[in-house]
Amino acid sequence: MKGRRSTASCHDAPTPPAADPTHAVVAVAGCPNSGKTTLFNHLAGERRLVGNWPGHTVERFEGRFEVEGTAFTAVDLPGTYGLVAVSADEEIAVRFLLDERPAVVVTVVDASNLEGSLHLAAQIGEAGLRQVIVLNMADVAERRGIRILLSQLAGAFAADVIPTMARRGTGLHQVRRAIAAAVGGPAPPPLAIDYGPILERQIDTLERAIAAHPGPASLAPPRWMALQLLAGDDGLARRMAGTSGGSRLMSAVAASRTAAAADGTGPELAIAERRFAWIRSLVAVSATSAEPRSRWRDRVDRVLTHRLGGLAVFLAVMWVVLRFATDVTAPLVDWIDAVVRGPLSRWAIGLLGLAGLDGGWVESLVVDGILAGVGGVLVFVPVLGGLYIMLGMLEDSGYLARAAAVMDRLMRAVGLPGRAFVPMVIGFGCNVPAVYATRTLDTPRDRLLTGLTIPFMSCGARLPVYVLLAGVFFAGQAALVVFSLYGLGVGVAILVALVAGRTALRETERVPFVMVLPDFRIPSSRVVWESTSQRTWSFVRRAGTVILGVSVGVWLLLAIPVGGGRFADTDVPDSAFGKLSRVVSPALRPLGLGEWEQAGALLSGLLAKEVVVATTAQLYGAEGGAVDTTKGAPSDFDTIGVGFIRAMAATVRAAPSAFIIGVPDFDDDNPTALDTAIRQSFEDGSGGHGALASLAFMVFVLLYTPCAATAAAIRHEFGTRIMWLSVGGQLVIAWVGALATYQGGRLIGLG
Amino acid sequence: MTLTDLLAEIRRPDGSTTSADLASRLGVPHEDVVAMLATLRAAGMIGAARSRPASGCPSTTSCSMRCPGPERCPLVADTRLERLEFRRG
Repeated sequence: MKGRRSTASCHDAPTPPAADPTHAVVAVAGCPNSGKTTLFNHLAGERRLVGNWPGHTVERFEGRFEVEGTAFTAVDLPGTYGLVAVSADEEIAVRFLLDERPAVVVTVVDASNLEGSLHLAAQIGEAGLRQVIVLNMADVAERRGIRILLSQLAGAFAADVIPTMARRGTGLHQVRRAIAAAVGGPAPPPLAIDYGPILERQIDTLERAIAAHPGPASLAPPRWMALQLLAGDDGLARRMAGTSGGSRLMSAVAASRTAAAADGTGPELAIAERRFAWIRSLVAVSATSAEPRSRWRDRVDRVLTHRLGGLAVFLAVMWVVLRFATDVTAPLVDWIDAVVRGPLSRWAIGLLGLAGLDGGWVESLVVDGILAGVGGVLVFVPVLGGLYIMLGMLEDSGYLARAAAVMDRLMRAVGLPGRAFVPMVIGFGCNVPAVYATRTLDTPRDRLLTGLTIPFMSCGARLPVYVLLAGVFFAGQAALVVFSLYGLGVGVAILVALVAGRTALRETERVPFVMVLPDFRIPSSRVVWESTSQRTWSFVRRAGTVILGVSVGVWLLLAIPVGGGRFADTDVPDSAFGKLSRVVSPALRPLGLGEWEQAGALLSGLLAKEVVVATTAQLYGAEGGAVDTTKGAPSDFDTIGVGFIRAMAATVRAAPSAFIIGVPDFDDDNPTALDTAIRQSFEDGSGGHGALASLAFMVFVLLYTPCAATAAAIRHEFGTRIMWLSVGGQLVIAWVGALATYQGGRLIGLG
Repeated sequence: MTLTDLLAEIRRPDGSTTSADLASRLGVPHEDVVAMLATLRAAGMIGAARSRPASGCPSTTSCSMRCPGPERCPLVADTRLERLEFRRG
């Protein structure tokens, strides 16, 4: 390891601009997810300003802070791994560091992974910038038994090195003081790493060529610029070419690159090798690990990412997730249902009575329209909450990355890019962001092929439909039915990818990629809570907007008489909705869905899948009675307070059952009027094959257009023609799938 | 093992892999592979598959979770996976 260059060199770096001690700029830099924004937030506190980087949409955060009466401006830079920009974000960070040359750079480094994260600090040091190195996540390093000799690092970088735990705010006082000291202190010499005789010869040649041109030499230390140009920094090369004497300099760069590559290794790789070797030797003397590197993780990974074993584990995990979401939360679903149909509806009627509006169309709108529709959807909040808790835990534990690795092989086998699994996983939550997530894929072909398969991923909005029908017809095997539907969705997506990928969207080039598996960790309750609450709130918000609107619309259509009767006082079959549904109904008869209510529910589901449940509740509620008027029903207090405690206790008792292989015992001995009406309708519509018809209905819900928002997203990303192709294709696939389910089931004697 | 060896392994034509597979094939600890991939990334030799949130979205994670509709999140990705992927540059 070589030390710092002599400050007596004739090619000394230009001194960083004399920092204004009353208003110095402090840049906070670091790799993405290193905790730099958390650190910045602690530094800037409440005095944080948000704007855009000039010419870019990336947000720029600035903040002010003071140290012992001296004011500083902190700038939170986009995450960057090094000073060679690959992405637009990195370009902004690199340009800011090199052009603005802040008074001090706070370089945030992952203390638990020094070898992998000191590269940026090394490059900043080579660029001659003053820096304070922050070893963040010091607690993680400590837990892993890593002890770091701060003085060794500080000596090598000629910079203060401060351990912090930014999340807890530990070590920030020292960071502030180090910043103030760096601004007031002398400019350190640029870090000099020995790149070996071949590279050093070329660096020296270029350094002299740069120093001979006053324009370029003022940008940064000539040695650093020589290194960057030798390493193929295109951005810097373009800028240098435009300066006085730039073309001659570029000829020299080309000659040096050729000479440096004489041993067969490109100069960029050779430079990276030498820098990495320097970092390794530095880490070897400045960090010690009390315990040997764990091998158990490698063994677990071998199982979790195994071609067959990994797939089996993935299926088992998904089974537990769905068991938890559908079965364990069942008592809470029943409780909300009882509250909506009981106290809430009675209170609404009572309030309307006080206003003299009871008994008329207003009561019908509130009870049969809004409460039945929106309430029918809100009942499933615990189901969605359960699903999102489990997905959040899997995500934060590091397991989903392993699942992605397992699924990657499957994806590639059917012609999809491995990374398609990422948007597809997002699709289990909601198809809309999943369609937008296809932008992370490399080629238009990959994006389109993945975009066409995403609508078959069973989003959270479809889950309430499955839970409702599976609860009525397959009470003992609800989780198995739901699990099979999720599997069917993935299967159809794969089939679509296979067909499209081998015909219209034939693959031209495959881009290999490496997925870095994160460490396993115990999921953070804060992260799981945030992800669950955000996702669940999104569902509730839709219930208060889209579902409310559609519920009122469906009620209106149900209230409008066609061919006799009065407004809001007509038989449901004679309403506008009934007539409209009857037009569609014959097309669904071969699927065992001969009743017009089923056609109506599916029609409304084109807008959003939650609406299927809302419409079903309205339709059958209107026929079966939406308000619980059972004599001897418990008091409102019992229903709400005691009912909640009982439901929670039952949920907690049921939680372990999610991890037990077997069929849970959740048979509902007391079906509601809605359950009875649904069962009767499906039995009537299929000539006595209600269970099979309900399965066909669920298959149809799984496979046809997820919602208007997804169709809009597809149009936004791929154009109107593809949107119609997608919507039409999904309808055909849904019809064929439901037909195969119903008729196939009958053929083999099921149902 | 050197960065050159790792890069050669990544560029093998058999497609995607995981850092755990690479560690197993090259006979080195997983942590070393992760550190070397980060170094290759810092040197601009490989690219990171990631996206950034649109203005109005506090982070890519929250945007993907909130499902806000077509106009709010023109670029969305699962950050927990996104930051773990590297592709050949």
